[in-house]
Amino acid sequence: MNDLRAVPPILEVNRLSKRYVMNAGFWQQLTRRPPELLHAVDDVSLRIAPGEIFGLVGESGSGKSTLGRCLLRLVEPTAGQVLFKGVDILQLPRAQMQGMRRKLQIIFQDPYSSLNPRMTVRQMLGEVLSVHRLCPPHRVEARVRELLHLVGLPADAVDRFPRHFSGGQRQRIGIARALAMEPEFIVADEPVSAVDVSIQAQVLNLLIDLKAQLGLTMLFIAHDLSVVQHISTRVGVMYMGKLVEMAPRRLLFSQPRHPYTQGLLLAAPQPDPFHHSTRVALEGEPPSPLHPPAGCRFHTRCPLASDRCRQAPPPLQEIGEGHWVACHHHDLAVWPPPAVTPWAA
Amino acid sequence: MEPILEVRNLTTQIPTRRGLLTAVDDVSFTLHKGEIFGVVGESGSGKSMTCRSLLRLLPSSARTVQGSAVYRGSDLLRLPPKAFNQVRGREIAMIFQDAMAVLNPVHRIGDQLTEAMLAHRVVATPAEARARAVELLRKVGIPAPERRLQDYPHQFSGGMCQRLVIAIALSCQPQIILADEPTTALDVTIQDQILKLLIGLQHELGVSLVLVTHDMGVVAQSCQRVAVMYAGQIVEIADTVSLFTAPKHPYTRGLLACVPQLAADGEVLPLTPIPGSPPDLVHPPAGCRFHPRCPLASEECRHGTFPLQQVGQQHVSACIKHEELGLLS
Repeated sequence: MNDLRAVPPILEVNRLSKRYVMNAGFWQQLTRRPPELLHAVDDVSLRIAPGEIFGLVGESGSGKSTLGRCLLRLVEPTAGQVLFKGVDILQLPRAQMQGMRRKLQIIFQDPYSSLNPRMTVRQMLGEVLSVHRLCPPHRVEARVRELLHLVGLPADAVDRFPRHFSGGQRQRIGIARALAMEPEFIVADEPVSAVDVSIQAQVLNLLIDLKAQLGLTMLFIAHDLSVVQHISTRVGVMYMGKLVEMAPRRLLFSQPRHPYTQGLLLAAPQPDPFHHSTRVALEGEPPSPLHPPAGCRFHTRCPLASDRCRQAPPPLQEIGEGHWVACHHHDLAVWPPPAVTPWAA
Repeated sequence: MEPILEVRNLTTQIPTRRGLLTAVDDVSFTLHKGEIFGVVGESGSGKSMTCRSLLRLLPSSARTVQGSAVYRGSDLLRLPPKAFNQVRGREIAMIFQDAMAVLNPVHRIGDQLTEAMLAHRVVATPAEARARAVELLRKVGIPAPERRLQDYPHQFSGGMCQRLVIAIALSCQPQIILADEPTTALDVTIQDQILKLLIGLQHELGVSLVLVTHDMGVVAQSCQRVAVMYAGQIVEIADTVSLFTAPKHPYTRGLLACVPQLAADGEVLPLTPIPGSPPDLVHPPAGCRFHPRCPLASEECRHGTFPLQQVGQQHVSACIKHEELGLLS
């Protein structure tokens, strides 16, 4: 990953923000109360190199899904740039965006609501292929079968409806639909959160295989750190709309420098009965996104918070090779933490 | 170890349009006094239905057709309704996954907290109930408890609601708490807080806790003993350390191999998924229900029944080929 800078990024996000105007309804207008702003994504910049799987992790409300959707303009960002191969897709007129969409695909979280229940697999994949004129009509059938084979579904799946499939199989159909477009960039929005763990491993392995086979570039969004660790080459951590840490996988998991990343790592229950802690990893709860705290947004829960953190928001700065952290006290964040006390046996 | 609840041959069925679905199939286990007993399995494995069967909180069409659950000399499944109401909520409490849905949105927290105490006559007067409610809120870590008794559930976050539900479950000082995925709906840092709160309280009060979860991490971090469920049946019961270090059922082993684990050095090992998907419970496969997905399956696994057998101290497994597990790489 050291040559990251040498390769031109396939996707470059510059100072992207998405604000939602809340409570702008009739009553608010009547009372002339100013509408409130919710900063779902706040001034996020990142670059994704071709062939990378960039893992984006954060808790609910951190803005990770909104960011993913902004990249495809499924949600229109309020400010910033999204450069796909140097072209700012936010400036593209509708017609040109349509063509661009073919190259940018998404895999959704919920395999139950993201497939049309009245369409067979053949119709679903066939529609994609013919709408975008990806192959001549007489080749559609063969291409559909090829796609099913690619995602590990049996050939006789073509005439079945979504209800005939399990959650894991539906997720495979969703993946096949995204791949049908021969995309150059895929946003995978929590693709394994809705499936059981034995199926989760199947889907993860499929995505890893596909990446190797087709050289996919992906933004992989998840709330589960161990899943992100498993699949990503580089990882970004979000908290309340801000990107707080970003590093190559190995670095992020072995030397996390943001107290929030460290807290997330400690909080995830590990399937290891010899590894216990009675101490709560991170106290408190995220504050309301409508009234984010001044300074560093994490200061209300941070064990290292000082006056400086309450006043000045820390910039995202590079502290090592490709390792970016937004924390005033990143040099004080000790990792691994002092020995954890085991439960009374 | 003293048993506090003995469940034998519990079977619960749900009629569906396609036929009878056996959600809980001949489940037997013993809960010991003062332990945290995990029940782990994937969705549809029957873990929640087992708890709900014990407390008669099943969907209206479901029926418990067989079995017994002996608590203090009486069979919970055969108690007349009036006597049963003395037990449910008072002696045995339940914590559900979705705390927001459990709390009544139009009643104040204080009223919801004191309701069970007054109904079960754990306290004599409303004033005493309020005093205890304040103490309970403090115990579960809700700041400014006196003030918050006046609040409504929507004024609390998801994590705080789960704390409230735990306080309500504790209000009558139960002997047993059945916790059905109590942390699944929560974010990871909040899950960590609630799990540690629950473990701490269990430790402090000596209550017996059944912890239903799908998360092997939660099991490893909290339970002393664990039952693994697959397709409505318990396939293995063991102490936590044995289960994680020397599983004696191929399903347990498969589950452990497919859970991604955080590695301190950031290096990852490839995952070994379990092939296929869980069976349809209306028409489950004959023989061992896991055989279509099992790497050890042979002809004998396709027929007959597979009761739990002793495979070690405090360790039972339903697999007849558990000895071959060690040979698998």
